[in-house]
Amino acid sequence: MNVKKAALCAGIVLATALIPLFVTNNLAMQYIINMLIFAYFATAWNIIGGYAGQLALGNGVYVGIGAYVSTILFAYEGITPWIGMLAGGVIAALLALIIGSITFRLSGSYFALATVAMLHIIRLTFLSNNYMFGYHTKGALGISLPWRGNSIINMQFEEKAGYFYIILALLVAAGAFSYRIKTSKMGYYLQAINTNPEAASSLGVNVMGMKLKASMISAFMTAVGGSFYVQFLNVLDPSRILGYDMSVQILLFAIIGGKGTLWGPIIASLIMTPLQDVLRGIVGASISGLAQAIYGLVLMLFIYFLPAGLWPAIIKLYNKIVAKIRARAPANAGE
Amino acid sequence: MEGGKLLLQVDAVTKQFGGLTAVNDVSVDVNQGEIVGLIGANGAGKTTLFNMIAGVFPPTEGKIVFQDTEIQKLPCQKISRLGIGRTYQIVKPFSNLTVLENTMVGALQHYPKIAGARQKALDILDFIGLSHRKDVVGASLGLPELKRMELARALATEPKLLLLDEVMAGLNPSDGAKVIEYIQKIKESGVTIIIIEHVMKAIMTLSDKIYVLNQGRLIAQGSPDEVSNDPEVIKSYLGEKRYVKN
Repeated sequence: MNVKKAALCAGIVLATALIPLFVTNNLAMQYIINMLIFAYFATAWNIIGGYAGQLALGNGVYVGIGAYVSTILFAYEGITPWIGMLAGGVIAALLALIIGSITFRLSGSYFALATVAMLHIIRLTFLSNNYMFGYHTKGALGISLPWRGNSIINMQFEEKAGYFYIILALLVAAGAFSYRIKTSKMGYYLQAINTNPEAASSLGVNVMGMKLKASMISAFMTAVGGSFYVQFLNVLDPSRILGYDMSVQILLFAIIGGKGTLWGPIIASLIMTPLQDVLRGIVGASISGLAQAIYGLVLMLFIYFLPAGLWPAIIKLYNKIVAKIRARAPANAGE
Repeated sequence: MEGGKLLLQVDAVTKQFGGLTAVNDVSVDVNQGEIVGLIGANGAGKTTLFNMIAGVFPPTEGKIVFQDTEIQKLPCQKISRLGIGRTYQIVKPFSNLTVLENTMVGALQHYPKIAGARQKALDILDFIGLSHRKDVVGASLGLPELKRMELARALATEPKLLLLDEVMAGLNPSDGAKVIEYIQKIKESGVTIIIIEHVMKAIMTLSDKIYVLNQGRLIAQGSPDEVSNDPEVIKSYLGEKRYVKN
C-alpha cells in the first residue's frame, strides 16, 4: 500500500473515531454501531465468498457459535467475553474445518445448498434443546446476559460509545487483515481458485487446503463479531442470530458492494444497514410491509444497475474523472 | 536422442471411462532435454494421456514414473510441485486476473513473496513476448494470446517437464513460426517438453522423437523421419489429413 492510500485510510479511521463526540443520540449511535457490525461481518464473509468465490450461504452459523460460546462462558462461568470471543473464534474455525471438509467436495450450487442445510441443522439444534453441552441455553427463549457493570473487561457499557470503539477496532483489524490476504500469495491463490480451480491446481495450488484455510479465517472472524454482537444486544435470540436472514444479509452486503473487493462490503453495509433501520423505524410503524418493500426495491436497483457491485462502479467513475483531468492538463500528468 | 537421462516413464498405462478405453496399454519414455511429439487423430487419447501425467485423474492400470517417483496417484498440485507444468487444449485462464497476475499465480510456487513473483512473471512475459499485454485481464484476450499466457503461467512454475497441448492452434503461419522459435528457446533453457500438435510442420521440426496414437493405442514411435514413413501411420493418420502438407 502506498503512503498516500495508507494516510487516507488512517484519516478515515480517525474521523470515524470522533463520531461519538458529536452524536449523542442513543438511537443514532445504535444505527451507527449496527452499520459497523454488518460491515465487519461482510468483510469476514468476503474472504471465503468474495476472494475464494465460494457461495457460502450459511455464515450466520459462525455468528451463532461466537455468540453462544462467549455468552455461556460469561453467564455461567463468569469468564470475560474477551476470552469467550477467542474461544468462540477457535471453535468456529474448527467447525468450519469439519463443515468444509464435507461441503467443499461439492461444487457450485450444491455447495451453496449444503451450507444452508448446515445452518438449519445447527439452528434447529439450538432452538429445540434446553441444554447444550451441559449448559442451560434455554432453547428458543435464548439467553439474557447478566449485567456485571460498566467495564471493558465485561464488555458492557452504559454509554454506546464503548461498543462503538470496540466494533470500530474490530472492523479496522478485519479490513487490514483482509487487505493483507488480498495482496499476499494466499490472495492470488484464492482468486485463481475462484475462476479456475483446475488450472490453479496444475500450477501447484492446493485447492482444498486453500478453501479450508479461507473458510476457517472467515469463520473465526465472524464468530468474534458474533460474540461482540450479543454483548451489544445484551440478549442472545437464536431465531435472530442463527436465522436465515442474518446469513443472507451478510452476503448480500458483500455482493452488492462488490465481491472480492476490500471496500465494497464495507461501503454497502454502511448504506444498506441504516437504510433498513431507518425504514423500519419510520415507515414500518405506519404501514406494515412497506419498509421491506422499499428495501427490496433498493436492492433490486443495485443488482440491476450495478451487477459487478458498488465499489467497482465507484472505481470506474473515479478513473474516468482522473482520465478527464489528465487529458485536460497533459503537462502535469504523473503517477 | 542425445542419450539423456530418463526423466519420465509412462509404463503400460490404460485409462477406461466406463466402458470406453481412451488410452490402451501405452508406454512412453522421455529423456532429459528432449522434445517428444505426441500425434494422432482427434480422440486418439493424447489429451487423456496428458491428464494422467499431470494428475487430473489416475490411470486405470499402469505406472507413471517421474525422476524415480511414482506419480500416477498424486494430485495435480503435488505433480506441479515436482516439476511438471502444462497448458490446456481448451484454455483455462483466470479470467478476472491480468496477464501478469495470471503468470504470478504460477511464479508464486517458487517465489512466495509478491515482489519476487512479480519479477519472475515479468521476465517470463518478456521471454514469451507478452509483456506489452501484461495489464490486460484474461477475459479480454484472444485465443492465441490466451495460449501464450498459459505457456507463460506454466513456465513461471519453473518446470522440468512441460506438457504443451496444442499451443499453436488458431495461430497464423507467421505467429506459428514464432512459437516454434520460443519452444526451441525453452528447450535450450533446459526444459524437457512433450508436445501435442496438429501442425505437422511444427512437430516434425521440433521433435526429437514422436509417438503416434490411434484409438488409444500406440501404433508407432521413432524419429520424425521414421514415423512419417511408417505405412501404419500414413494409413491411419497422416495420409488422410489434408493439412499434413503444411
